[in-house]
Amino acid sequence: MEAALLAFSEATGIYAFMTSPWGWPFIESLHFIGLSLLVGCVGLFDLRLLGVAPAIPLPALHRLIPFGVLGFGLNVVTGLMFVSTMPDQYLYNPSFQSKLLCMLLAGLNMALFYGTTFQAALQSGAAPAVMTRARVFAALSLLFWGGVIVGGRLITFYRPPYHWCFWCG
Amino acid sequence: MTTFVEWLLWVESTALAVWVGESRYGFQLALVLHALSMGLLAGGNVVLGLRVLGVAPGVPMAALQRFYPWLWAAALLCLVSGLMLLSVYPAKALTNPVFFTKMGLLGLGLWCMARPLAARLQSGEQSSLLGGGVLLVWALTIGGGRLLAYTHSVLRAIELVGG
Repeated sequence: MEAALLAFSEATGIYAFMTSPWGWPFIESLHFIGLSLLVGCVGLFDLRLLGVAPAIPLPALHRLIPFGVLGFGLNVVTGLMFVSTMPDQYLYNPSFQSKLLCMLLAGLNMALFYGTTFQAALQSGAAPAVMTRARVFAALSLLFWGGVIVGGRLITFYRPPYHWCFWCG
Repeated sequence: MTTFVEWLLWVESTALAVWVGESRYGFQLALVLHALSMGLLAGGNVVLGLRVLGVAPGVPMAALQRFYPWLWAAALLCLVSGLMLLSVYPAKALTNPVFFTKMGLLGLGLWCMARPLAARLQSGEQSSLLGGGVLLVWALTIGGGRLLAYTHSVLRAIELVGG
């Protein structure tokens, strides 16, 4: 895994770019911008589901979600640039692993929301039970995406091999 | 030793700076709070900017103002966590022109939110210039903040003591 990621980074020129003087900070800046785009669009939609700004129709606000997806895509690309350039610093890092787990949970939460509740919640006269379910999904979304940010921000403090964790093997 | 350097040394010696800098989780807590509140503040302003640009036209502009208390709360949290970080490394930030550039951009972003953006949301008039400007200002503020880790000339005030 480690070797494959590093080989990918070197073959694509990512490694050379990331280890050039301003490569890493530049990509980090893009990663933080992507974060803001994602949390801004998804977070405000979640807050709306939780009852903030009820005058905004949900289908209209949902038109902003593609920009959140754009931020997520930007962060997958920039994130892969970090991970493939220094794979050992991430794969065995408990903070990074927690971040991935939160991303998985956020993804599952989103899939369940769209699969079970989204269409019904968009109707203006949606049943209270539907809106209660939507609020639970929204709160979990905020929690999991917040966890992704926390895990990401703390990666640098839990670099292997100095920070052992029982599941790092 | 100049008064400025003495003041920096004093800031580093305050109870806040010692706790944030030397406790097990103080610095990590400050960084996490700063990242979370940045996401909400900058990201929320990006949403406002996109709407003023003309994205998601079905969203009533005036109703977006209901998010303002959340964005101001995020701004306050950014300020508190930022001061926590600043207290540990005041010399690092206050000798770096990039820090003042970031603060200028941040001030501009917050002013836009408080004045022209609020006015446009109230009146319902779109503006490509304002919307695009808001997106640019917040992107540059974020980039400026990230670059602070790479552009400093000193970390601690003691490095500024001549000798």
